[in-house]
Amino acid sequence: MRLGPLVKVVFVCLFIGGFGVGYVWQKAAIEQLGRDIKHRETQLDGLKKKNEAMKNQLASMQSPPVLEMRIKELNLGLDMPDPRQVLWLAEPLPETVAGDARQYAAGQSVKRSLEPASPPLHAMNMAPTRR
Amino acid sequence: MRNRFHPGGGRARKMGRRLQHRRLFWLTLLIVGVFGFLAYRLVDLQVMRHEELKEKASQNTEREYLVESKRGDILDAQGNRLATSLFVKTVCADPVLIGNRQAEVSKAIASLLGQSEVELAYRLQPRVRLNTNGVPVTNRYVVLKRKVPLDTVKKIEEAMAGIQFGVDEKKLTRPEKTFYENLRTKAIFADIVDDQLRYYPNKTLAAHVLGFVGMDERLVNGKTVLETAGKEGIEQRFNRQLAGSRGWRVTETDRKRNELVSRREQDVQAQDGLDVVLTIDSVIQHITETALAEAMEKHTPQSISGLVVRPATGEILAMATLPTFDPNNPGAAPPASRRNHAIADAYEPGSTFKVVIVSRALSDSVVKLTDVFHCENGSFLYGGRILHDHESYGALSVKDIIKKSSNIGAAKVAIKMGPEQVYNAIRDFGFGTATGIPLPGEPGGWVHPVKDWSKVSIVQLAMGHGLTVNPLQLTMAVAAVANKGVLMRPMLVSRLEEDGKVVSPYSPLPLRRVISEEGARGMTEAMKSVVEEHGTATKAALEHFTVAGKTGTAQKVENGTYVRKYVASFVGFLPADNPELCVAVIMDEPRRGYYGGQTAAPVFKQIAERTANYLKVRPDKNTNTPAPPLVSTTPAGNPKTAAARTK
Repeated sequence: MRLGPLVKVVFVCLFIGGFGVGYVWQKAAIEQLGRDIKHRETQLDGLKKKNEAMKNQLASMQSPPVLEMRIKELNLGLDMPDPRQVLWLAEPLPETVAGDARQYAAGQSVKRSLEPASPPLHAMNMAPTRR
Repeated sequence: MRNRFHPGGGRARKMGRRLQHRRLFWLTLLIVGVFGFLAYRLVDLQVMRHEELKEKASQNTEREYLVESKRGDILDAQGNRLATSLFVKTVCADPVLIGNRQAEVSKAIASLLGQSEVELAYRLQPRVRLNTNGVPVTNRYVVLKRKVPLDTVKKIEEAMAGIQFGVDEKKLTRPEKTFYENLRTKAIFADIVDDQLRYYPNKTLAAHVLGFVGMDERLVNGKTVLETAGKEGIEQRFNRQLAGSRGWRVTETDRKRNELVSRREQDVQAQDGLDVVLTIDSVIQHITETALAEAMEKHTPQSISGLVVRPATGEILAMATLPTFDPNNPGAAPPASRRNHAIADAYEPGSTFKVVIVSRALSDSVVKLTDVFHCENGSFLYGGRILHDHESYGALSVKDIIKKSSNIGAAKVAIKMGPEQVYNAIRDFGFGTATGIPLPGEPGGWVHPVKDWSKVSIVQLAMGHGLTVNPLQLTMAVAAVANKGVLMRPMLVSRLEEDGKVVSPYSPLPLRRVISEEGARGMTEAMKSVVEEHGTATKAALEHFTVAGKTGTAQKVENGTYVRKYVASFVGFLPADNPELCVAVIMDEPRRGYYGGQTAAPVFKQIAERTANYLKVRPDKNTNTPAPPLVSTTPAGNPKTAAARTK
């Protein structure tokens, strides 16, 4: 029995079959990738929209009129600080920093001091109302 | 073997062969015929009708749609959003899929769309029309509502999915079941193309600066599309930069309208619009608007405007006008409320204009602060007309002319300057030409050339009559005095950004020197006296800052004659010797007082004090007085915060 032709036939069949299967596999992979891309695009789009919505919510919450309304609603008694409640520090001098190993802030002269010491002011520049 | 016993066997065999051949022939003919027909059909479909069928196939699956660019945001100087865009959808219906169930559908979704059930049911009716080929077609795309928020779209989808039609659906035939399924899932749908809704989170804050948007129809590739376009304010002036550019996508979809990404042919991304960063600070804007609102309530003027400017750069930190409107719904406010009086009003400025004439006279050494003019005891005949002061003054120094706001004194200074010098001063300070602020609707004002002047023009101009200015021009002129005599171009836009990166920065632009430093210093000295005792604006004085300012009370003209209606104003800057802020307040027809010192000056004080505190401007007055305590002590000796005290 001659094996040569048989091997050839098997080889040709495998080649054609493999080509067909490979083609179908590739097509299926492309379709799957397309679906994945679409899914991720949709996901990304959704996240962007969510992000935007949250930014807008933040913008609404940070709005000065809204903040003032909330301060009144919650009766927090916050107001702008009096100019005398603001500490003024002198501009740092390079020589002083280089020549003095002491803590930087301690080396600076405080123009005016507050009695009692002022706590950190609110981020919105608001301090308790004066009475 | 068989043939041997049957002599007729050969003939039968022949007949059998013939039958086989015949059968083979017919079979072959049939196969050839079938294949021939298939080949013909193939050629017919693939070659002869190729174009026609290709077109039909692509109509079934190919989709081409535009990708909207996101309109850029408008941000304040601190990066807070003043205007932004929300993604929204257009809700549409396919009346063919609704059949005769309009009543149920409209009942389920009318409230979500904010429409009446009857109106909606009418719009859901299928309508037949003839297309361009004269073939009757039923409408399958009805826009029910534009700009619907995404969460509302979701609610509509849920409402449609849960809709009941009062039939036992288990007993329905298959086509009937398909009808109800399509009705629930496909009859009401959101358009695939995203739409945008302009949103102003601070509502009325800086409404006149921001402006608002509207919808414009445009033809794109033969299709009519609606696009958002700025109609007023920054939205209008920076529309091109904010809008960005639209993209498009050519792709294919399956039967369920899902995109087949692998068949995507063209995908051009939209380029989002640039963000416009303003010089406006939303906190200062709020401070200004709050102060104006209180004054509006107290004096009920026709309108009131406020401007806060940094003299050194020309940056506008706040620009407010009342009455105002909500740009989220501009149509709800009357047109008059949408007018930006801070730039659009041209009016006779009155005494605030003395700053221009006298400062130029000081700069050109025509007069000195200590020079004395006799103010004719309140009545001065010039050019056949009698000029009055609001009080009778005798001899006044130039400084006192400003302090007391003497019309006669200012007129005499102008007469000493001469017409050409007065005219040049007015023009140099920028009057008669729009300031170039990037907002629509700014008039240049009205300044007659010297050749058109009458004999009394020079004295009229000295007291701020016989010309028109807009509030911004006047503010910038006073800011020039504060800026040591250099006039700056008003700056409203700080930069254009893309994803937080600066694309186009805008820099402060000095226009020209309008007066000398010496002249500016002299004018500042005179303006400082205005808020001092016996000045016209003692109510503008601040506890911790030295203020330099000028009041204005101008009579209005109606039908060519001056009437008893006034424009009251106060323009000032602080700290006077090292100015950080220039603030202007202009009231049109105030009631319960009409002098600038009575009405506008307290508003100036309120704005200036709070703004200076917010910006932490260093006080230059009363710095040694003890600071009020931040923490108080209760009688029991326990420290308590003010917040706790107020409860």
